[in-house]
Amino acid sequence: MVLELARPRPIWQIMFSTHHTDVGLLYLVFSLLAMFVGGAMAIALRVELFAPGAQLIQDAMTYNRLFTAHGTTMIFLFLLPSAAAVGNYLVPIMVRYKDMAYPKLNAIAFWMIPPAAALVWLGMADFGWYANPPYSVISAPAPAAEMWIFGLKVLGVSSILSSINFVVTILKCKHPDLSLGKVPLLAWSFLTSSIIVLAAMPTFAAALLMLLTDRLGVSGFFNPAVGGDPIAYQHLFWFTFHPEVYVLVIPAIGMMYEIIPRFSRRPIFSHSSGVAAFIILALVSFASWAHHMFATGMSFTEKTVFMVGTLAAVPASAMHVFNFLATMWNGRIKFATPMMWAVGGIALFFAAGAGGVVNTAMPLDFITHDSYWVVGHFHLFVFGTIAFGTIGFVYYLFPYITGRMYNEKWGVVHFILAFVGACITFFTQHILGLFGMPRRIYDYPEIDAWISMNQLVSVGAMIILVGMVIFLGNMIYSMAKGKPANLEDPFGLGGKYYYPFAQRNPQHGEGGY
Amino acid sequence: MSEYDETVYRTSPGRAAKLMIILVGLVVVGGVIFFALGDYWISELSPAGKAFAGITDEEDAAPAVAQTGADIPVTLDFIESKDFRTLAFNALPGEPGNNPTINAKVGDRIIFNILNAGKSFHAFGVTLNEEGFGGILSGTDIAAANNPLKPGEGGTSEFIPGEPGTYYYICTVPGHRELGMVGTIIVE
Amino acid sequence: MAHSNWAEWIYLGVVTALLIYVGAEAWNVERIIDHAPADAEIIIVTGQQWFWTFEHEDGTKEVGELHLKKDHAYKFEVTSKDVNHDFNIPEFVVLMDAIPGRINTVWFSPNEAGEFEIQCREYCGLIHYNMRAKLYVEDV
Repeated sequence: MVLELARPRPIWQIMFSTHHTDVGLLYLVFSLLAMFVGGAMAIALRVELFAPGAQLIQDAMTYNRLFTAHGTTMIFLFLLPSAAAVGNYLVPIMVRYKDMAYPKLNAIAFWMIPPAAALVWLGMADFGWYANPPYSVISAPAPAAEMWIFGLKVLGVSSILSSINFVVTILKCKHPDLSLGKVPLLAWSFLTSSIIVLAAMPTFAAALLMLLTDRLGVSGFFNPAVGGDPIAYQHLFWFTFHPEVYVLVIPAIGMMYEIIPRFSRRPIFSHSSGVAAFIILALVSFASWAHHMFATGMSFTEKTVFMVGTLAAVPASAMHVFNFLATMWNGRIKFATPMMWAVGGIALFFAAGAGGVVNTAMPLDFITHDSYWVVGHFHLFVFGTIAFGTIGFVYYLFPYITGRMYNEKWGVVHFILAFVGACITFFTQHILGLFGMPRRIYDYPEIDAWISMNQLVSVGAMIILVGMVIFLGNMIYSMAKGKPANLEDPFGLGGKYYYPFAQRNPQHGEGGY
Repeated sequence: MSEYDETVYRTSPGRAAKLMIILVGLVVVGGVIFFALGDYWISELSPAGKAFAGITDEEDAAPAVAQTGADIPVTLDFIESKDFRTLAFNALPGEPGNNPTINAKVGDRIIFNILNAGKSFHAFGVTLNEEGFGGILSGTDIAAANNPLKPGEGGTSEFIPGEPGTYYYICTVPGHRELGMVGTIIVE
Repeated sequence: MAHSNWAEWIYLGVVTALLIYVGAEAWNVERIIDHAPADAEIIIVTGQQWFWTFEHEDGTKEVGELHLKKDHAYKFEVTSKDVNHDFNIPEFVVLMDAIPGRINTVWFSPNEAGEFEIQCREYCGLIHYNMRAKLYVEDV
């Protein structure tokens, strides 16, 4: 598989290109930049929380702005664009079409993201990435809040445009000889996650607009002082964002479906099972949103409905785990870096899901709600599963994009540091939550158990940081001076494991790829 | 296929360096813009927030007048009890100097020298309202609830009463007045 | 290709059975704790930025601290004056959002005497991290 060009092209030509490989590269570079920015924010938070009292951050307002920016950056500027990057590179190849269905729209969808990021990063609002009213309406300072609202509006539109592109490309532009059921699972993951975005994102767009007009004082949707209901916003928000977390996870699972069969040197155990699991997950994801709202004073019946809806999504996730394990069973596994990340990702995915089952058991939620248990739980998903799958896939794509091989030894070191660091950081946070420590707090009282666990969590975060610095160094150095890769089989897996259809960027000129 | 036979270099040290310069440069420029404008990004309250806090653009309840009387400098320190349950100016309740009453005549200029001598965040203002944190008379405010004085910070403001009556100087952070940060200004 | 998927079906059956068990147990426990006893004493809890006030049935108000009796049932009517807060006594697993314009109820009966922490469990702004109060449970 050949994804990039032999002759160097000017950077401006890549930036203004509409070819899917170029747009994919832009998305990839941007999302990795955002990952490091968001990661730096997280490290600042963890240094501050190392002990009670002010360490690095002298006031609560700065801390509150940092955790808001951290969450917003990681979700909207790292995870969503990195999924779009992978999709842009590979979906047209997988459906054997020359580009995405709407190449210009594709480029527009990408270029909306940097200005939106500028709005979010310059304003640095302080209301958490949920922006719950009434705080976000009457108490959060301007113009930071308005900048966040506009930034997220633009990001939402970008997401919807790129989803339209994926759905049309996969359903309408696929090769006539390719039946939908035989389309690779990575493409299926983009199809299902894009359909979720199209169904769920407009609700949040509406909620954002309502939040803005509420702030301006011209409406009273969520402001109780003028007759509104703050809980209405939470319903609208979570109706989008519970399915949205599946939009984040499903492409990462799709990426694991690329890596695991290849590196096990076996075909996937059950392709149809994977397809069924993606579809079920997409549908059932809409049935569980209010499990985020169990503490708002919902009635027993309402809570039961959403508990059942949440539990109903677990078997579909379990199907994916089974598929991966059954594929690896009896395989001749090559534990190269991408494979390590994928397998580590499945292990942490399982742990994250188990913690989620605890949260959804209604009475247990009263122990865990808005505590560090929840922080540990969702980070096992976003870092332990999604970032692991994405980073593993970045290692996998590296030789195809750059023509050079990254340093395998340092890739393994990165994985070990990230995995050990993730376990220390996020499992300890679960216990910290059981001991009652709330989320989003700048400082905490001098409770011995909290202090020692926070220190352990901060140490774990430092371990992850070291790994990420090594990753950055590996990427930059190997991009410049890595050993040339064998593009037929960069990982030495043997056999025909590349795609039968090679891509051709028209700007690359005659005769060259 | 011939293109798979030859070694293909798609990136080089030069291109990697160019990429890093562009990305790092963008982040640095953004950082400069962000820090150069400092607190601007969080300096205002939304219109709905102002309505909630009773801050209006309309005519002040007590419009500003020119000074015709004496200068009255007043020093007020924000202080807190150890458990943060009681707040006050200058001294805690029961101790001498707690929330001193200020006496003035119409036209006097009361100059407030305010210091945050506590560990929490405070802000200052003069209001006619008998309860709550709104109705702050313009010119009398120092910092605000959403951009308060940090420990050790201070400021000055002045108040020239144009009408006789009872005014209140308060900490404008919501709830702090209820916890004890209020004093009276009696104007004859 | 014809895979024998019996292993997958058994695995899914086990997973589903476990989930049904968790769901049923959770439903049952929630059903039991959902109703406050009729003789529970009502305490009005008001959260505001950034402190708690409590009002007993006889009109006594307490700011920043709450005195209760051991083994008595209490029902909290929780509300807020400005933004969302969350009334939380972690050691007795009392947790309920304080939402302006709405009164939520949660009940408990403290079975231990002593001093306990009350904290806010919903981000409410600048001093959310220090929006704390003390619960004193007396043995009478």
